[in-house]
Amino acid sequence: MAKLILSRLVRLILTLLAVSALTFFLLKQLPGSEIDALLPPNAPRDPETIALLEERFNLNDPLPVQYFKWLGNAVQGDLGTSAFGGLSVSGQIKDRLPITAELAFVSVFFALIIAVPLGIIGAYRPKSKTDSIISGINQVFISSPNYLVAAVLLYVLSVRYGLLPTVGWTRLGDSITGNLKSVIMPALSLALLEIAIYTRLIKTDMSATLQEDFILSARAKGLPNRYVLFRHALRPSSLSLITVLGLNLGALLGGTVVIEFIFGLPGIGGKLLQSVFSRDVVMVQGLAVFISMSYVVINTLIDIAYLVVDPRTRSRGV
Amino acid sequence: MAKSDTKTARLVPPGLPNEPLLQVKDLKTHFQVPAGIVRAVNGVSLTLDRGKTLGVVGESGSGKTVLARSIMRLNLGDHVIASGSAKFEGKELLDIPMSDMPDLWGVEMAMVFQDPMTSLNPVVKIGRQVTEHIRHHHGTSKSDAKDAAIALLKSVRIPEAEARFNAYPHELSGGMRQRVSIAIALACGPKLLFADEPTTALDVTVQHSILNLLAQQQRERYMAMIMVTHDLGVVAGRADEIMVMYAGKVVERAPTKTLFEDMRHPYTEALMRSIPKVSERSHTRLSAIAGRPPDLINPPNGCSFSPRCAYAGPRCFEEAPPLVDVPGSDHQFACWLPVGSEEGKEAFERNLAARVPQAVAIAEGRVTEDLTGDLEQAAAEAVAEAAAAEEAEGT
Repeated sequence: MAKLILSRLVRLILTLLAVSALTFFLLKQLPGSEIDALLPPNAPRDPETIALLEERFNLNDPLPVQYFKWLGNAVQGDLGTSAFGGLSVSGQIKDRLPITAELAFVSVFFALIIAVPLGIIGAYRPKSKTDSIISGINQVFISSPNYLVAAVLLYVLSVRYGLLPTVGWTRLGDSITGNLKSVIMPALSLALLEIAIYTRLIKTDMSATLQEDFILSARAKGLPNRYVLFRHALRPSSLSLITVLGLNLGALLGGTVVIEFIFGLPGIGGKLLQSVFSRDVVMVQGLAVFISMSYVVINTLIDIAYLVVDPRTRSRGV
Repeated sequence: MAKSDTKTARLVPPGLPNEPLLQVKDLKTHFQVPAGIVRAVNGVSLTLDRGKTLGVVGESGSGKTVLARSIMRLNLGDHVIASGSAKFEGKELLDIPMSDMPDLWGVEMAMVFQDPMTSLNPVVKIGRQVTEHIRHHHGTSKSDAKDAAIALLKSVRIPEAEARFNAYPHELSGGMRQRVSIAIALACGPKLLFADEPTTALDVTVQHSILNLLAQQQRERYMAMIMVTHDLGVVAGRADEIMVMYAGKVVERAPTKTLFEDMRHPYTEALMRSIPKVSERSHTRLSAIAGRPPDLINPPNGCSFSPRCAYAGPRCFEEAPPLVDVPGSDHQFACWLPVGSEEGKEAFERNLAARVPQAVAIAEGRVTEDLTGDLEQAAAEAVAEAAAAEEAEGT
């Protein structure tokens, strides 16, 4: 098992290298002069400034050299400095990641604690009244875009009853309740769709698992239903859920542009959007590398989770 | 082990009531499906004493597995319609609320399933699968349950039981897994063990040792066993009594020796004939039973085996034969024209003369796999013609 995990980690590093190289070279292929992109639109374009910039961003080196210089810095945690206000990319990520990450994990947590029991009920009592109600609600969730959900939540919880703040973010360090208040609505807006998807996944896989012989044999041992469902059926039914969970988390860590925008959250998604509009190449590149990195890391964790959940994959190798 | 420790010399330990352990009367299990009602078990009665073995034999679809599950009430779902009576130690099982049944499962009666590749949970360690119900039913502590489980694994002859305790099912061979399944079934000391085709999914070389293991455990624990199988050979030397099932009904029942020496039902005979014999030349074609098991939703009129029977006469297609006693013995069968009787012989000759395919197949030792098509109708027509010809001759 340790060997398998090690091989996953080696693969992770190789993937990261490939991803960063690809991002780097692709961004270099963007049309237009790089100097133009680096300079704010209204800045003077005299030769000295240009020479200075070329010097600072190693633009006179051949591309591979530029990449390795950039990589060397990146490994040390320096993803470059934006020409707009001299913000360091790493600094921005460090500031904004906690918000985006908290939002991602809280929404996934909401989704799981609601979806898993619902999915199990649906599989255990298919076609029952409860099951049809759950499916009906899920249908609504799955077809509501999250900005709509956000708008409804905002109207009801903030405007109508004034329970939660409409926009802005309170840091965890400043006030725990304030932080919770600012995370609930955005996390819920993201969670509803996830609830619908996870419930379906669990229900489908669980229905199949419940037909298995080993479930009947567990029942025939006189074990209580709840024990059979949670200790025997849930684990073999959670592989698709884990896969989708990984994809979702990856996407959420890359920032949820719309939700961050609606709730005025200073997260990664908002920054990315802003940098794209202002053509802040250094920032976009740094964030893009970071986002792809989150995907790759999460997916490696998911691979390892498979090994933990299904012992058969340990000897087979995935 | 003392020489007297054989099946016949078994005595009821003192203190146990003398009534049969299990008494089943007219048990029916029907399944409501969109196409109609599947009469999987259709009026089965049986009696089983403590410590005895009953062999239930039949093809796939004869209702033998459903019967075992019906007695245990393991057929779950809203589409199950059960009726009749099944008394366990004098207590009516069918009257127990479904929610209380798990208290009996594992403790009073347990089941060994057919395929050890699928009946063990692939993501749960062997150890937990052997101990979890001990702990649930007896409230045993984790370490005591572990000790008990390792002793149990040793008693079913799992080598390195301590190491296997932490293994996952996929790390064991099929035979080992079935040993684990047996250990699981025995863990809470059930009085009645159902073994549902316990060796069908296993290698021939392993089958024998698993059957011996079951027999040994049964003897040591004074446990009653219902052994479900499609193979008469499996129960031949091991069951006290054999019950042959066809289309959800008992067609013949007798003490094992009697059944083999004096079988009456053509279906029993056909099952017997389908066992390959060592004395036959290699590449002898297997003698399959012609046709398919009957449609349990719309069973044929009369005897359900009649469309496939080589002895069938006109009455067989019209009237279902009751289960009757062979006078002066505990042998019962349900057939109008039993094997070995004069009427049976005549019917066979008549069918052979009329070239009824299944009769021809028996007479010529030919396989009838190519006759599965419209066998039913062909047989009925041929029999009717033969009867008409007979009548015409007679007048």
